[in-house]
Amino acid sequence: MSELRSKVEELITEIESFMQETTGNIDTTLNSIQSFAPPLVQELDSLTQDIQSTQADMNSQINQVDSDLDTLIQDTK
Amino acid sequence: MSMWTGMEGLQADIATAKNDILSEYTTLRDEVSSYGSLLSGKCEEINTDAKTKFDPFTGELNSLSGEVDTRCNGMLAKIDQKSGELSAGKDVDVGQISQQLDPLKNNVTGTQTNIKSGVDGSLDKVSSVLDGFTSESNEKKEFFNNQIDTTTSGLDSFKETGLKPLELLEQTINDKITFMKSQTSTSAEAIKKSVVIVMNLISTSFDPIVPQVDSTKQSIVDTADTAGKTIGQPLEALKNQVTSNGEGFKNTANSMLETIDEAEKKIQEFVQQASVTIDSLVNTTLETTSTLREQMQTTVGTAMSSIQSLQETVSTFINTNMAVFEQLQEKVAELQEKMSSAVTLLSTTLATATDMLNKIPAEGLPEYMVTPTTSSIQNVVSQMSPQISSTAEKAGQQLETMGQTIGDQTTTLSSNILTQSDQFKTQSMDQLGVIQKNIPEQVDQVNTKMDDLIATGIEQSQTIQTQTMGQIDTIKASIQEQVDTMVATVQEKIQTFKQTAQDQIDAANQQVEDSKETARSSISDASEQTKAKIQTSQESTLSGIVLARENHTQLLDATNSQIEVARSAFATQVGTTKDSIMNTLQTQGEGSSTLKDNITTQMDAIKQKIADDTTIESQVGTIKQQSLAQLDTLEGQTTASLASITV
Repeated sequence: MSELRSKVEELITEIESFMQETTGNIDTTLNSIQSFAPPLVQELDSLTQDIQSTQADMNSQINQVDSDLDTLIQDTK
Repeated sequence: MSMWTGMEGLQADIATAKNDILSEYTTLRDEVSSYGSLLSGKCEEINTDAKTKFDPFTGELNSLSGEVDTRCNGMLAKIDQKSGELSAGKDVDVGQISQQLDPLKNNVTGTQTNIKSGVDGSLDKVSSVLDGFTSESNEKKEFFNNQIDTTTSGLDSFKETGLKPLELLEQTINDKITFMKSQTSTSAEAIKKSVVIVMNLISTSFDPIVPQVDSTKQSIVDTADTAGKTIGQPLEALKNQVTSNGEGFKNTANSMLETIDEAEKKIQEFVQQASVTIDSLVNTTLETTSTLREQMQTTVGTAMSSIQSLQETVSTFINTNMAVFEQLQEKVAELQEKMSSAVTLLSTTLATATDMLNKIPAEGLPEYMVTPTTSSIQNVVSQMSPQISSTAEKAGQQLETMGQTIGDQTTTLSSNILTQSDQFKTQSMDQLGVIQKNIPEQVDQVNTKMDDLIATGIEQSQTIQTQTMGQIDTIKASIQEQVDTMVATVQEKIQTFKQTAQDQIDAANQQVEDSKETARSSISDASEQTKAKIQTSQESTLSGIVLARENHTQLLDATNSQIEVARSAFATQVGTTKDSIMNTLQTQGEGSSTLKDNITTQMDAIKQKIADDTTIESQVGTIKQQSLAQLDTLEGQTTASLASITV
């Protein structure tokens, strides 16, 4: 009887293995769906930061010139 | 620090120069103003000196005038007293009295007037001299005050006009600063316009890029959401199906485990029942054989007791007739040894029987199969017990009889020992021989029956075992078939479903990879285009910034240069203008110093004249001396005249 029990228990293990393997494969695919956007979005966010950083740098430089001119004008008041 | 600090420093330099000049002016003006106080002080000193000098003379003259009045009034009183004395007599001619006394009075009064006129003249002289000094002092004071006022007025006029050159220069510098600042401000404002253009360029170049990137980002997010719906939802459904089917398979397998549990339980019950029954059989048999063994031990014990008694009897007999019974004693010892062997054999037999019963495989046999065996064993034991008991009892009786006989014979032999010893010996030996023969036979009989009993029990228990195992095998075979069928069916379904699910997963993976590739490709294009735009915008913007910065720097340098040139030129002008004004002021200062010296010299001269004056002193001495001499003369004359007058 113990052999029969072992056989059935092996079958249960096989079923659980099947469920685990198959649902694992499905989860991998689902994760792949969920995870493919974030790195691309992050890449675009990085690009946006580069743009904003460059713009900020440009603005900073021209604002500095503007500020220097304001100082110059203010000194003439 | 402002670039205009240098120019504004010029304004400060002018302010400093003006302050220096004003300070010099103030010092000078204060100096000149102090001349008024100096002058007033000198006048006060002159007045004080004059009063100090001449007031005592006035006092002397006033005192002299008082003394004149006192002495003259005294003389007039004496005249009036004389008149009164003369008038008090009888028949007095008042006219005659007046005629005599009035000239005296007139002389006194005339002299008094004369002297006082002289004193008053002296007082007038003192006053005149005093007024002369005062007048002179006041005249000088007025003169110098006019000069002081003139000088002060000149300084005030300087204050109004002397700083004009500096103020004009200051105005020129201020105009220059204002002009330069205006010029600089206008240029800076012009550059600021180009800065605003660059700012707008930055805004128009960069502002649209981020929304474009955001649009691409949103597109990717939408693609991911769509993939989640079109690919993910069917996969979720498949996952649920896998779980559902898997749980169904597991339920089927678990159900089979429950069936196996029930079969095992049933088999266990069979085995339990057989075990209980055989245990009962074995326990009963063991109890029975134990009883037999106790009975046998009792029987043998009784026999041994009898033999022991016989041995003691024989020993007594031997002690009495050692030589006669020597042979008998040896025989009794031999008998005792044999009895011991017999009892040991009997005990061993019973123990063997018990061990054999214990070896009967009683476990797992159903009760109904065991019962016949139990009954059979019980029957055998029941039959055997009385036999063993009887045999033991018989052996005991025989031994007891033998002992009694030997005892009796010993008693008889004690009186006739020599004649009966051989007979006693023979009889004892015979009896012992009988005991020796009967005990092993009885034991053998018991042994044989015990063997039969055990053999029967073993045979019946084995039958029970065989039947029980047959039933168990039948149950096992049934379960085996069910399990094999179920396992094969479930494994086939798993394989089929697994393949179907994997195909679906593979297709979904391929779709995901395609979507990823599409999105990545679009990002790559958008990213390259955006970077190119940024590069272009950055270059054009930077050139605008550089140009604005250069313009600012040039303006700054040019303004600084202009300021430096103007500042240098104006600084020299400020210095020379200041020096010129200070020279003018210093010239005025020198004039005022001369004025001060004049005031001091001339006023001190008046003081010296007062100090040196002796005319009043001389005049007052003379008038005082003359007046007192006249009074003395008058008093002498008056007194003499009064004394000479009679009526």
